[in-house]
Amino acid sequence: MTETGFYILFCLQEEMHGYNIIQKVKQMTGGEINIGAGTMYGSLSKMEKDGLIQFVREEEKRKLYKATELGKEILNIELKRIERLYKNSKGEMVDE
Amino acid sequence: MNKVKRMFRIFTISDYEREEKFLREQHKAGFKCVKYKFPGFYYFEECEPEDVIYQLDFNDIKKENKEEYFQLYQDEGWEYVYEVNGWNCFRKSVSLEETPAIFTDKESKIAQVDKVVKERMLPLLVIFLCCLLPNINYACFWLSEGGLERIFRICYCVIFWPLFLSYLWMFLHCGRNLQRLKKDYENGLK
Repeated sequence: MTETGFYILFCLQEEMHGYNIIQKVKQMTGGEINIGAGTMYGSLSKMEKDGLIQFVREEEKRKLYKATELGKEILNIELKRIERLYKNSKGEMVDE
Repeated sequence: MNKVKRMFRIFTISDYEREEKFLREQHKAGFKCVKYKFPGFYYFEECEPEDVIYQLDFNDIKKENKEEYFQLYQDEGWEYVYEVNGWNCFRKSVSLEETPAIFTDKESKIAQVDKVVKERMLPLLVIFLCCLLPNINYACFWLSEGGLERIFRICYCVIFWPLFLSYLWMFLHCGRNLQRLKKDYENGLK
């Protein structure tokens, strides 16, 4: 999963539109990660096609999306992987 | 009424970064792009010189998705400039905090190159092959003919071969450039 994909999926545990996500990610990462409009639009289209997120409703020309069950499952796998990476990077072992 | 100027420039499907640079330089010199007309007419209006980033997004947006698409760009502070043959042009001023870009990771930059190849270059190549290849035979064996037929075929060749070779060169040029662009993105050089 790309970094952009991870942040989008992470944000979409709640209902949000593309611009919301861009702002939230910027805020979460202290301005480190700034997702461009083209990258955001392309990622949302692709993730919707892949069944990771779904369109919920439209609000003032902005489409709101939410993670699907499959999306949540994939996010959890990714979160576990990141947790393992983090623990290992600190020299900790991971229990089975 | 501000001064308007028209410039003619041809950029192929593999030259979009050069096109973006060209538009940025014009704006820096005090001419903002207001319109584009196929195959290469750029219309500029005199303005305050400013450093403005121009970006091209190859995205043939379906009608029902257009509002959402343009809204997202607008929310992000991009001004819509023009839309031609599936290419959407946007601009945004450079500020102290950021040099704006519509694609912010290498995956989406590579995806744009792949899309240009798949949705533009390959269809054009198929059309090219279907139109010109069936006539290649006719343009080859003119020596065996005599009289009027021979003259006719020579005239035909004079048109056919330069056209054929220039198309062929164009595809090779674009294919190579797109490949190079993709490699640069993959290696993080751009």
